Amino acid sequence: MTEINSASLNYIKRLGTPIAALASGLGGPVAIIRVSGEDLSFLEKTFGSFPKAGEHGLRKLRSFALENETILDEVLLLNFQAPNSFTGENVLEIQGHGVPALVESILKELQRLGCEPALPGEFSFRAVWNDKMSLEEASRLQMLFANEGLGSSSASKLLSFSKSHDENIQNALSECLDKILKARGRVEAAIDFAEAEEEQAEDIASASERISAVQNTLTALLNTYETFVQNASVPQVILAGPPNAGKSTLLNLLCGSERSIVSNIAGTTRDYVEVALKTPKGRSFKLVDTAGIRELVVQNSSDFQTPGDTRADHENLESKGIQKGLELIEKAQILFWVQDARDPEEDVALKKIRDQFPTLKIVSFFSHADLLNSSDTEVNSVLSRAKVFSFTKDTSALNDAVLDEVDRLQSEREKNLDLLSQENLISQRQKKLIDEVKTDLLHSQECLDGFRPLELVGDHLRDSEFKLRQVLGQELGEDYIGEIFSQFCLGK
Amino acid sequence: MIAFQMATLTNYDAVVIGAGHAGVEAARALAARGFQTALITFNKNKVGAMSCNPAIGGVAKSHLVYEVDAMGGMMGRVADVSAIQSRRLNLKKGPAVRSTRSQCDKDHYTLLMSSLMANVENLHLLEAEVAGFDWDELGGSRKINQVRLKDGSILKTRAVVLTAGTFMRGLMFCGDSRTKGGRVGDQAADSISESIEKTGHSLTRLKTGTPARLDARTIDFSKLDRQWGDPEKRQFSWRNLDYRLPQLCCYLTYTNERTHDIIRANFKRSALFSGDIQGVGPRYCPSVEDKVKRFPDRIRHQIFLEPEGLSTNFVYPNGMSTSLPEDVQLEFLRSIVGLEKVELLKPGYAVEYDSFDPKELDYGFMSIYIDGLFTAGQVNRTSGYEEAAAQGLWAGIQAGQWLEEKDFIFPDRSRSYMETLVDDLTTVGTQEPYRMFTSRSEYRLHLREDNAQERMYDFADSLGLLGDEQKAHYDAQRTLFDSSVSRLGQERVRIDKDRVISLFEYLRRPEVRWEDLAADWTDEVDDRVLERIEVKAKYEGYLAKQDLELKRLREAKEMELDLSVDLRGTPGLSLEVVEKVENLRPKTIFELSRISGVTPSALLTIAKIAGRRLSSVSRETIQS
Repeated sequence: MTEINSASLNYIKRLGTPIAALASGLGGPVAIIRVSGEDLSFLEKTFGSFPKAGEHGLRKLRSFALENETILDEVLLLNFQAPNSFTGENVLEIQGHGVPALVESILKELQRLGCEPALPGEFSFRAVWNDKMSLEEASRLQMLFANEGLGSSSASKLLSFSKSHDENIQNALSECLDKILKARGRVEAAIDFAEAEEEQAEDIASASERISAVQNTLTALLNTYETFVQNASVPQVILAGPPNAGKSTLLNLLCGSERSIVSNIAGTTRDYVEVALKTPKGRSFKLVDTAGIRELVVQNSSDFQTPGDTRADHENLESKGIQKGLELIEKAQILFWVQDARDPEEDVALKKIRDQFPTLKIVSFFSHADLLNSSDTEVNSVLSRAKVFSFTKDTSALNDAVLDEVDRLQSEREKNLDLLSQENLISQRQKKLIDEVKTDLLHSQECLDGFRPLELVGDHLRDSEFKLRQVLGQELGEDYIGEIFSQFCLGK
Repeated sequence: MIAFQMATLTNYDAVVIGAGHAGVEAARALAARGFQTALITFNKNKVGAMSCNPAIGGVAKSHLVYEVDAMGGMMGRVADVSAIQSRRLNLKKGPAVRSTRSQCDKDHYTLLMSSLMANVENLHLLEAEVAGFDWDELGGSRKINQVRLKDGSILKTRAVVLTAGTFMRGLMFCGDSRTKGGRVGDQAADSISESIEKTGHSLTRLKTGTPARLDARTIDFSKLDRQWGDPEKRQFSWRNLDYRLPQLCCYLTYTNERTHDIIRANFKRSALFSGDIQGVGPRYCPSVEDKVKRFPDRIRHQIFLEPEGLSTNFVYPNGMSTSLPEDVQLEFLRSIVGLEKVELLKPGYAVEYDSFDPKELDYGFMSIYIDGLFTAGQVNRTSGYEEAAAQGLWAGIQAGQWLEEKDFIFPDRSRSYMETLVDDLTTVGTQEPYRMFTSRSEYRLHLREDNAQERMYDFADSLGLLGDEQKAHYDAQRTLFDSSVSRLGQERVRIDKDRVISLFEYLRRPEVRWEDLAADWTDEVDDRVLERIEVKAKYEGYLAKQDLELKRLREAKEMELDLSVDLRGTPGLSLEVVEKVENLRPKTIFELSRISGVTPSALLTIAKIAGRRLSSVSRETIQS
């Protein structure tokens, strides 16, 4: 097969296709995402109508995962009409807060709508191709050329551009590549040797098995990455508990005069408030107040229906709120659970959370401690457990103690971080490619399972091979046909 | 009385040497454009002979046949009229890999082809043996000028298409015996290799095998499963098939451990294993001794017993190619169910022959050593009648360009399997006989049986290869297609309580087939048109993306490069890349992008310096 140097050809083939990438600013206050393509009008579905060429416009972005009207953030859109743009094509620049999760969700949405993730240097390629930039300029920008789309780097390992030199990863990925080639061989044999019907079911099963094995390996690599990401980013501390347990009081105690609100996200019927804080040792973290999360979690189970609630109410909240609440908990590293000290038995909801999120660190708080009967043994035993704080609205030393606890938990995390970062950590660019490979493999399995025509498998697996080779930094193989037929004995 | 022969001198525009499947298509393509073409064969009645499997088509091969037919070629229509069993394969795996396969009455096919070729305008079928060919040497270039026959005759010509198949120094092996010949019953073409050696071309020995032919009267069919062809009419050609030969079934049986033991005991008597045969054979068509050796775990191998014709007792056992001696063949065959008393009408044998390295052809399929010399078919290290036919057509087209002093046509992989084939051969080459697979094409979804005519029409028309009847037929189909699509878009079907969609939308669903469309007018529409509509409905999304890519590729093909500019010393271009570009001399950005080592930034650099269309005002100069 003569896919000789498809890389160059690929760039040419893609001209005009909408591509998107982060142009700068991950981790900083503002992130700029750039989209370039021949026709970008399909984006107006999500981003609203574009501002006039050369002008900017403010847009509210909705949360894309849910179909409700939860506003995620506001962004600034800049519309550049071809040929007066960086690449010479139509360009849309989306400027938003440099919050990683936000950037990720915008990029995901762009991809869902039909934008391809940009290849290295692809914007510059188009700029030179369309005579918007001279070769000289481009060569001066050589460094960026290779790394474009990944944003300016911070000290974090996450944003490292270089291939992971980790031998384990190289080996694991080489094995995956090998399995993909073999799987492809089997499928193509099943197609191209249609007369040999006996072997076909075997071929398909074998291909499917190999692909599953690859999916597992890739999932493991991605999980390691995700864990690292979670640990490396600024930790989220979720404040939750039954209504009127004293969450607001605790919040005020913790924030004191240093309170600064980062963003105000209008929710369904609840407001979530995020506060940025710093521990005495200088660690940043975000405290998120989720008023009412207990109700959301509990309403999941019909055992706890409040009399008087209509089914519609439940369903309403269930669909709108639970998703959000659980999403927040999922992203959090620490949970501050506040209960009234007069009712210290472990709340059902807390147990559910413990079960569902085993790696979440939970710190328990008991409010109204002053109203307790201090001779109540049950109460005392609860209170004397480790990681339990009790407070009243006047407790002053709480702030320091709690922040110390956060410091302690976080430094534990960081130890794990160092361990993790030694092994099996892929780079951000590799992660993007591997995500795409996973999607391709998923489509392949759908074909193998009979939901879609088998002939499409070849294309999907070829794409996977191409991307894995990029991750490994390899040239394209030319004679994979040999791979296929080294295994088969077939008549004409 | 003295019998003497006059040595004659005749002028031809082109001479095609060898009237096999490649030769036939090459000759027709030249004759259709008005060139006086000589087609030379050992035997006028064996034009287009089927040396091995008496079948045309199969996965990917059938696509080649459709393409050749869409360009006005011979193979499809002759196969249709000679078919005794036709099937369509891969029906459930997707429209792109659906393929047609027809088993033919072998003699009927050859007789029909022979008589058709004897009556093509501008085409002169000559029974003769070629002694050699010669060329003029003028100022460093060599141009072919004549072909010499054994009887002393000279054919003056400006283009030669060599399609000698397995005949060049052909040597047949059966166990210990060796006989000269390109095929059983036919002589070898020994003299021509002398001329070839003088050209500078490197020849390699290849081998291919064919199974024994069994006597149907000695087979116990009662024990065997039958396989019939499809009841529906299956055809390759655009011509309406209103006449069919009576259809036959074939039979299924298997080898067993006893068979394998017999073969194993006789490995040393196999010409293949004894080292007598030098040539490399195809991995995809292994001999039975190959199979047994390489796959010792398999307890049985499938064998299809295919009748070779209506009025013959010859049965072809598909899967049993061998070069073991005759007595061993009989022994292992008799160990197979149904064949306990079988007799051989012909033993299986292997043939070894000279082959060209197709990398020594430029993309115009012309020899890089001798201008005007083209080679096509099995001589170029391919296997299969269909691969031969496609190459023959291509060589004929390019030879025609040569004769008209026009540019060669650059193969467009996105247009046909034929062009994928020739591109693979001339760019990458092959160590073993090349066989077409759908997986060889990165544009598989585009290259389908159902749209072959559509893909090839403009190309064929621009070369003058289509007759009026074929053109009229295509136009009518096109109109029917468009009107049917719009009708389907207008008719509505109710799918549930409150949803009504058009029939065309309905057809998009994976579980709906065109056969399910029960509108009363669809009965009047040709099945093939309806199938194309279904593919359009289902694949529109997948194809749209590829269409855009293809559009870009075509644009890149129009961006010419002017390589008179010196690229050496340009920052950003490695010496390696510069040298490759200087050697390969790509004419367009597209060709440049296919050279290995040319990265996207190197591509841009060269495009900016040497590209004509890219830089609008003037070309950039880089400060070193």
